[in-house]
Amino acid sequence: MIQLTLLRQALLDHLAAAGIRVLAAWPKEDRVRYESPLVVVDLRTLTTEEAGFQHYLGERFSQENQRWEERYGQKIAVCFALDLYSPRKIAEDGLQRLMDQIADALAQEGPAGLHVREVSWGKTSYDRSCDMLTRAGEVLCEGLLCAVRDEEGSFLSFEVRGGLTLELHHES
Amino acid sequence: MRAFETVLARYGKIVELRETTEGAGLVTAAFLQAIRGKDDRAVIPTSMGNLREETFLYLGDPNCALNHLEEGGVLCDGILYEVLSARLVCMGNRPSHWRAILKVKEGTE
Repeated sequence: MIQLTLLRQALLDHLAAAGIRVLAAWPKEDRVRYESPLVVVDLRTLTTEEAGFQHYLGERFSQENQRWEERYGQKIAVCFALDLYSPRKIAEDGLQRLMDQIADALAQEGPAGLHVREVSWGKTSYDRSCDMLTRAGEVLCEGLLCAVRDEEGSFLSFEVRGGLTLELHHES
Repeated sequence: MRAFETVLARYGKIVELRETTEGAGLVTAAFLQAIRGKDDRAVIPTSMGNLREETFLYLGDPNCALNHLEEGGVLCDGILYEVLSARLVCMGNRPSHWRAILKVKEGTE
């Protein structure tokens, strides 16, 4: 099982590092009343596409492990859901500021070395249950998911090219 | 002493009516009980966390008003409740008791 939640965590960390208030969607804790704008982040879709012949990307000598490792990979497209919330007293200004901050944070590069292909926003509405203005958005990222296999043929880990390593867990 | 106040004094719970979330408020007695409906799921998951939907019926002293507690609420057993609606109930021309609907107040960030 691959820990795909790490992808969401990577985006959370990426946005938080840019000074944006973030929250992973559907927390188990009680909801609190927010006095400042925030972004609720979730992983919506992950699609894969073949890269190379039979996913084979060739061999690479690992300096760390001092051995040759075979690399397999797939192109991935990850769609994150970003739901923006702003207290009614700050209103639309809070949403606009959040969108600017997110655009700045993703302008250089996406989370975990992913390439940001598209950022889109829906229309603003009012969420009566939390008394906040909200706007749904999506961020579409692309990258390469690599599997590394050692000489014995065991898969060691999956890496999103550029940074994030997804640990591989074998179910017994 | 009228009948309601007699029963309230004997069986009511101690509550504190707070005009703000901080600081002391007016201490009085009241009946506070959860309202049970067809759907008893009191905790509703939302993308921003669990939302407590359970409502409570408040019956209290006619001399202790609840219609000015928007910024504060009713504190009982360490839990702060917000007032969703409140009205003074009269028997004939005489005030009998305050009747209100409460819910657990959300914490702030």
